[in-house]
Amino acid sequence: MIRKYRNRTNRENVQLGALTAFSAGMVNVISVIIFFAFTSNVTGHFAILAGEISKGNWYQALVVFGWIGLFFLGNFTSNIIVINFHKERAYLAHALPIVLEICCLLAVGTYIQYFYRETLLETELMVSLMLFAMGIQNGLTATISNAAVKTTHLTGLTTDLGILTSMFTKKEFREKPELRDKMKLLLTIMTSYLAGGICAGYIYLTIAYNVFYIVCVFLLIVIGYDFYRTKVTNFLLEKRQPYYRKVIKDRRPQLSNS
Amino acid sequence: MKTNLTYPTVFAVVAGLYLTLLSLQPSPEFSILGEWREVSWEYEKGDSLLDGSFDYRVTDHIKAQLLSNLIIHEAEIWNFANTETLEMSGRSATQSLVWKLKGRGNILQIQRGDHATEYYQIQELSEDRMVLHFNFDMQVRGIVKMTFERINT
Repeated sequence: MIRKYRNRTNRENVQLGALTAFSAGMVNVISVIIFFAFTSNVTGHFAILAGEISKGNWYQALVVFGWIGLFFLGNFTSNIIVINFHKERAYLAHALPIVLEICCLLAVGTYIQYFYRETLLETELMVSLMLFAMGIQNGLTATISNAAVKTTHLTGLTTDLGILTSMFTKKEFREKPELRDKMKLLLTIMTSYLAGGICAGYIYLTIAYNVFYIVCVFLLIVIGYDFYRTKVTNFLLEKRQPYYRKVIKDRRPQLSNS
Repeated sequence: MKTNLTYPTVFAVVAGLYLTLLSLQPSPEFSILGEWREVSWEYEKGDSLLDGSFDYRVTDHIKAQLLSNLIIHEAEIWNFANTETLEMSGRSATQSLVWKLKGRGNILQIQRGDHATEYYQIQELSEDRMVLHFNFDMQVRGIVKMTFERINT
């Protein structure tokens, strides 16, 4: 799901988009409930930044600027990992940013549960960490799907959806499979993001801060699925299909696809 | 090699500059400390006056109705202490509450001992003036704007 194949299928993009958008929706709503700040709504933060500057609230402006900077840093980090490691260790290059995201969310969840005293500094740092995590996720999904999937970019998604819907008024566009696939992908992301938000709101009432652990489980599914597809499947194939082996005289048997 | 040095340098400079500027600004948690006197209550949607204009000021009668179920029961002086306690005094008995700031310092959370919690949006917080917005869930009236002036720090 997270590997950057030469030609990713729409099914893979839909799976990736659905799971990551669901977790992004959950994180965003939970951050609003606990911290009164959005963590996957950078367009909104730019508007707030402009508002705070115009009012002369420099402390708040700097805090929001820092949050935007951390979202940027998250995108930077995930992409720098991918472009530096994907040739030698492709799976690791794509899994590592999600592992980082899980670490950030686990840190936030654990801190809130055991240490959070609700000071402003703690709130600002927790939101920063969550924005960094969302930046990592958005950057990774955009990189590996060739910008087809952006899980926290609902403004762009709604724009694309509006454009596509208008295009579908003409039969020639309606019948194009790539446009139909794109529509399916966009609707999946939008629905998943919304569903994630709604679930987080409901779940928070019963299990409170444990929502962060549930988000981590979803992210583990993303990297676990790919691990299964690449590593485990290859391992099983090697074990079960000895007819792939070539035996060369005076040499040990070797796998053909190793 | 040049790029390898440029990126860490730019990041370090931006981070250093950012943290320096942030440390120079007073935190809202510090700015809010002290005694504040309630100056006015204004409605987003007030009553029409005879000359066609709106009366944005809340009458004492409406205010009493609004406050009947709220923590800030007819308090006129709000004293924010650095121990996160808030003492409200006025016509009703003085009560001690817990205050916290949320978001980027723009949300004031006030909590009573029985876990009743209210949230106010800080619209303005300067040395001598504080403006809070509160949505009373009375859609007819909308948001109430509460203005305070500082008595002492």
